[in-house]
Amino acid sequence: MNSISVQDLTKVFVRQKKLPGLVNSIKGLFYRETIRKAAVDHISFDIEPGHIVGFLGPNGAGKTTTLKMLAGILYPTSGKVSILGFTPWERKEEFKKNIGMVMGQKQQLVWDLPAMDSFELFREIYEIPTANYKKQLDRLVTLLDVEDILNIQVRQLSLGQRMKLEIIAALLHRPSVLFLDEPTIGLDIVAQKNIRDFIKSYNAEEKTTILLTSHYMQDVKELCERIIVVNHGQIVYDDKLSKLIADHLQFKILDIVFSEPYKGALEKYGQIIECLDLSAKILVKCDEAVPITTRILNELPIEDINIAEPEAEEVIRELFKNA
Amino acid sequence: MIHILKVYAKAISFSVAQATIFRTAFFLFYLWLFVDTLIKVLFFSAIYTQVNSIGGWNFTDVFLLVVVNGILWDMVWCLFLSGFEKFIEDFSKGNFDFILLKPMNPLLYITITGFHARSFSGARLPLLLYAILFLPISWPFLNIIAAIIVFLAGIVVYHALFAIVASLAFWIIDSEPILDFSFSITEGSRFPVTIFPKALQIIFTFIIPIFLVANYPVMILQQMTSPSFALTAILIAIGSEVIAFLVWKFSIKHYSSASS
Repeated sequence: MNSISVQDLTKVFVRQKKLPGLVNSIKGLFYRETIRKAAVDHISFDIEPGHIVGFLGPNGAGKTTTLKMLAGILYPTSGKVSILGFTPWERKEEFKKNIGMVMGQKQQLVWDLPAMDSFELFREIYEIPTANYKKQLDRLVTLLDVEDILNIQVRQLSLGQRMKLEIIAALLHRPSVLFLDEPTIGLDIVAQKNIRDFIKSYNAEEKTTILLTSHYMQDVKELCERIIVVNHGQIVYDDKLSKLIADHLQFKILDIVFSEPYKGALEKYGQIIECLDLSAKILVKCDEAVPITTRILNELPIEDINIAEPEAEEVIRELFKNA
Repeated sequence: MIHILKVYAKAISFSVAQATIFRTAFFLFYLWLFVDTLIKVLFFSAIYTQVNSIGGWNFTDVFLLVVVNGILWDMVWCLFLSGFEKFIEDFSKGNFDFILLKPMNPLLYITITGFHARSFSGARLPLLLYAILFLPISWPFLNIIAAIIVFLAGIVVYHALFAIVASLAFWIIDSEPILDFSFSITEGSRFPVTIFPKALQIIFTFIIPIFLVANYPVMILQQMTSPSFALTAILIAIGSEVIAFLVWKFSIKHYSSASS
């Protein structure tokens, strides 16, 4: 049985149009035009137990709305969802005890108190037996290396430290399904890496099903074998990340280092990705890579040139553009 | 039920921890509550140097009304109003999401975790003690019991009232103006009911029952009305809570959260 099963899920928001300016603000007090927008548009997918799946898309693609429907926060306009056999928006207590959610841009820990106080309150709310609570807390604290900050007011902690504690809060009750909505947003590279390592090892040990959204491709590359890409509320890709890169590998990147500063035109060779005085990156079609490289070597002052495959970021960006 | 009581006990200790973090603020708040009640008492004392009675209420009646009303508001803030206020403040930021994730009825969660220890400082109690010791009062036992029942029913009515106000957030997102408006309406409960026109007395006793809250306990204690009013108060409290629950249940389906 799948942990997560989604069929034809749709969410239409009715928004009021708000025009800028004083006159429009006053007009808006009496009349506002409404717009219906499908934030999520008939999406379907299944996730097997224990898998980590990346849920990707540009801003406004419908990622967070989908996650919120799967977590039971929002009612859908139509469609069916089963999470561990539960319909999320029925909001049964047993369902809520089996899921966890981390929202990178919001926090549930109380600002003025140490995280331990919040954890204790959550222990009671989730009815976690004391022994299980202690065991799980000790484990999470060790894995995330946060022993020193448990009794410091949350307001005095760094963003990275707070995120680690937010993750603990979401995992205290050992949920079988975890929704991670941009858990590494705003963190420095070291903190991002720590969180990724933690998610990887926790998933390996607990076999928790994880649906992850992130704008950082490093998160996705390290954690998710499978990705679901959404754009304008619709799924545009659902398969392995490696397959996506292979399928979309129609381009190569020429990574050029000039022997002297070069200011001439490069557009004739391909699409310029980056252009500096002593270096440039040009996107060229796969089958044209070798002849164009030869031309560049003959025509420009070259110190070094390298033919590289596009990074996952570029493939995804291309996918968004074409969708 | 045991589970709810355990969460409540934890929420109380949580709130005490919060209240005592900022010590100076804690003591200043206590002082403010005491001075606030004292000023109101002095205000009415000044009026009663000019008149003997306002709408049939003498100085002792009004003194008790001011003190009981103060204690009542402390309890309302302490038991749930802080929770509703925080809910309304945070609502537009989408922080309600986390409440919906908790394995507990959201209205119950907001009520329980809204416990605000600092509000229940007991700053009004010295004035109540003064009334009992120095003012000419004699309260029959039955009236004391009935007054306590009506007082508790009043707290339930306020819970229902502010739950309805909070549930408006699901429709209008920013319900702070409505919250402020309800504070203005409930201000009327600290004045003697009989100074208002009959129509307003009926509206604010049975339809928006704010007079039930502080006026009637004092009226029962001072034998201005029958202790049997306690039964009516219980019915009004139950009715209010049922209406609030239905409004909340209907409104929560309208929740659209906030974008990330």
